[in-house]
Amino acid sequence: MSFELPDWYILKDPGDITIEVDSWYSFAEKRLERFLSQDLWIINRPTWITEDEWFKTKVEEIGGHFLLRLAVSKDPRLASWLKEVEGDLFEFRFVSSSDFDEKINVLKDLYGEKNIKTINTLNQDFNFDFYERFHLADTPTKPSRYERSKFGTTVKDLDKRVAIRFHKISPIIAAKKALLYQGWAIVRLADIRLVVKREFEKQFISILEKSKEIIERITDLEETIKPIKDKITEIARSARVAGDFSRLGIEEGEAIFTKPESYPPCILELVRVLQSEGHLSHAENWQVGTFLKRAGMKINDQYKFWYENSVDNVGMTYEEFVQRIGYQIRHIYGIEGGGIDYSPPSCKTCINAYYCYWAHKKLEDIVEDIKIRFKDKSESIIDKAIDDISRLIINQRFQSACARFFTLYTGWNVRGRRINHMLNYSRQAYKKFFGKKSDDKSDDETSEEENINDEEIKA
Amino acid sequence: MMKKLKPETISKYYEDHFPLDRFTSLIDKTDFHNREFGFVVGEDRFVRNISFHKPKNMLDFMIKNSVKHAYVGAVYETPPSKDFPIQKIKWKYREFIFDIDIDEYDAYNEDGKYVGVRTCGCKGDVFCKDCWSLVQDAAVFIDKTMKEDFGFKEVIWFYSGRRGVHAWILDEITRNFDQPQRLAILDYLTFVHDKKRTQSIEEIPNEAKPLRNRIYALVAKSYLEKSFLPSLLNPVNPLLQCRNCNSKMKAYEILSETIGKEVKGMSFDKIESSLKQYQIKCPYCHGEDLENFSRKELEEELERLNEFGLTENKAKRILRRIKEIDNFDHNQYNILIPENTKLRKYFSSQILLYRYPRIDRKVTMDTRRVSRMPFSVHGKTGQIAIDITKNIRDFYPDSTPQVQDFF
Repeated sequence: MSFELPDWYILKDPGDITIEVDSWYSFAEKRLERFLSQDLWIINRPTWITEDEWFKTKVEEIGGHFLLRLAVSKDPRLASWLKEVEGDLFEFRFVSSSDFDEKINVLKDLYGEKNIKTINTLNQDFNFDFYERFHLADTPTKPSRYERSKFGTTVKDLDKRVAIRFHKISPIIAAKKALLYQGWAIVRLADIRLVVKREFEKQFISILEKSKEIIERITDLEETIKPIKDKITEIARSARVAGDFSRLGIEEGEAIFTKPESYPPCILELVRVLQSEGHLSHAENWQVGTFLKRAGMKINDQYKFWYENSVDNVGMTYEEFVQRIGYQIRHIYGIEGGGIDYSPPSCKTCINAYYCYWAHKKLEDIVEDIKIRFKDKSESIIDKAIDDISRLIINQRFQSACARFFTLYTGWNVRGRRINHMLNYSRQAYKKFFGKKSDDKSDDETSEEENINDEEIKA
Repeated sequence: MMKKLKPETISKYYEDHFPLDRFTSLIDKTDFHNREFGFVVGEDRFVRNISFHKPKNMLDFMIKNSVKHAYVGAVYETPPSKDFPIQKIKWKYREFIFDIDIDEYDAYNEDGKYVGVRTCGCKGDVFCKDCWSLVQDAAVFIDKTMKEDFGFKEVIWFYSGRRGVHAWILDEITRNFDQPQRLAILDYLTFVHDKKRTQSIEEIPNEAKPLRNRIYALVAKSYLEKSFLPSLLNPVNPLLQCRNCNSKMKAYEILSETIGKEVKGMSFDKIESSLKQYQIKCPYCHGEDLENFSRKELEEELERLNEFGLTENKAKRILRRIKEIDNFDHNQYNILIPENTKLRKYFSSQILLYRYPRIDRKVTMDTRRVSRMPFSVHGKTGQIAIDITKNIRDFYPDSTPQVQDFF
């Protein structure tokens, strides 16, 4: 390897590190703390830490990470949790690293050295200046652009461009967000941030497989790391619940599912179909079920919800229904099946594989729905919204159509002009109509709401 | 109407004229025994999950069975067979193939009315030189995009034998592409969504600059030359429509037949007066009310353009100017089309709707699909799936040899 990887990059080969078995638990615990407190997501040595202490921190980082991997490798639910938190940590560090070469080297490691080039190298290879020929400009990163995102003002160099072989970043090619030249995709780092995170998670999963092999090979190891696994289970569960509730903007115990006014159009429509026709497809059942769960509905309430609304209950007692049809509901809650604590799919997944109101309902019916739902609003506002939404649907920009509808409904704008997840829609709608007074914004069509787009819900 | 193909003619073609070496040079011979083939044999019986030990065995099968259609599929870890069909064995690779069919440009509304982009009156498998230019333009556009944007070197084009053309991308990297990778390239090339129904148009992107520039250089030029107010400057062979049965027909053909001499270059007024003079009736329902459909379309389009401030004179100026420009590009487009946001938006959607390539997505995406074998006979037309790489810009199917021509 002809390039040096930064210490914060957890897939870097650490070399030989020895940690006494007695210290394993404390190493793992420190690593877990890092996930919970973003203050500890540092990548460079702060001035108040000595070189020795910094080295110790790095050993703790690598060792702790290795132990966490061992502990979760045989439990798919915990493995999935660790993948998500490691993915978040990686993304944060990748975005915040102030060294552009570091970013390039990480990309080289993830995608293979021959598949990554800087624009300068590309200029030399092709003997012309890409910036000049294609009238490109690297606008310097504006901190204000990201200050409301989850990264705050720590973002560095995200507007700079790199060149990646096109077949390594298929979603970006499909979205036409790359300048393609002779098989090289010239892209802004900001545009590939999520694709890079997915690649990191993919490679992380294959490393987990190796941890699993170690556990299976060394017989007493599983017993030794059991306390670590128990600790992870405890933290993962509390983080998951707290995370979901905090993302929804409600206190734990409050129930967003009781307020259909805050449901996104896809769920409202599916519930309407369920209530009128008595059944949905398997995928649609799953979409509604996972949404209601994350909106705070407990499993017993969900049994009742489906028993009351679905025709599956015909000739069946409630107990029989719970026993037979309830399997799918228990699956959603991770009680049956693979034991995974599922979240509802993202908007992109809904568009392709589940139900998206904007992608799958006929445009004429959507227009009719809007006219009926907002009959009290001024005609000119409705006409303008219908015009905008129709144009976005025709251009297949369904998530933007949803955001435009959200503005019509709440009077709040969605930054980034796109809804990415049904829970984000619900959170904001809930905040608007049922949140604390201090959170309320004026009912002004031009007001700016916080960035829904950059928040992500793990699916 | 083509005479029914005799089995012995087909067998003789495969025995004496099928270029086996050229075919096998397209595919990797080392894995030949693990490749799937499919054939239409006997009375239109389609068989697949067939593999052969050597190319010669394949040719013997084709000769012996006088195969009407021959298809080539993917390569698997083990030879596909009836007992080990492709669903049960592991996929290894398949060539990366594009299929452009002329009927991909057709669309019908809920009432079954034609709302496709072919303005010549052809639909389905039927085509004329006017509408075939859509296929030619699409092939040139995709060929350039594959070479310039994706850097592929070996792009070979074949006539499909009936209603379209196929591109085989032979660069080694492509054959191992999985479905998402193939789909990504397809999506990069797709601007007309749901093309058989709503035909919704995606906006031209800013970031993908070479693609954007190519759209202006090739597709916009083609639109302005061939589809933008085609009858405004010069008389064209207009379409007539029967108000009784809605059938469409070309005016020069129907007038020539009635008058008994070749008619061309007639103005709209002259055509309409001739229709009355010779009391021409609809050949389909014998109705007497034939309307000049092309004139109606022209007037409607001029009215629409007028709303954006584009007068008839300005439109004529655009049409005259476009003929003079050899190397049309984005900058010239900007000079030529008046700076009006609504007009430009309208133009870009029309350009993509009427002239942008439409690809049969399933052929490219499906990694287990079988595709027509290059150089084989098309059982319905008797034409050979010939290599047209050197003249994709000018290739028209009537120049294709038929299997009978060899004897």
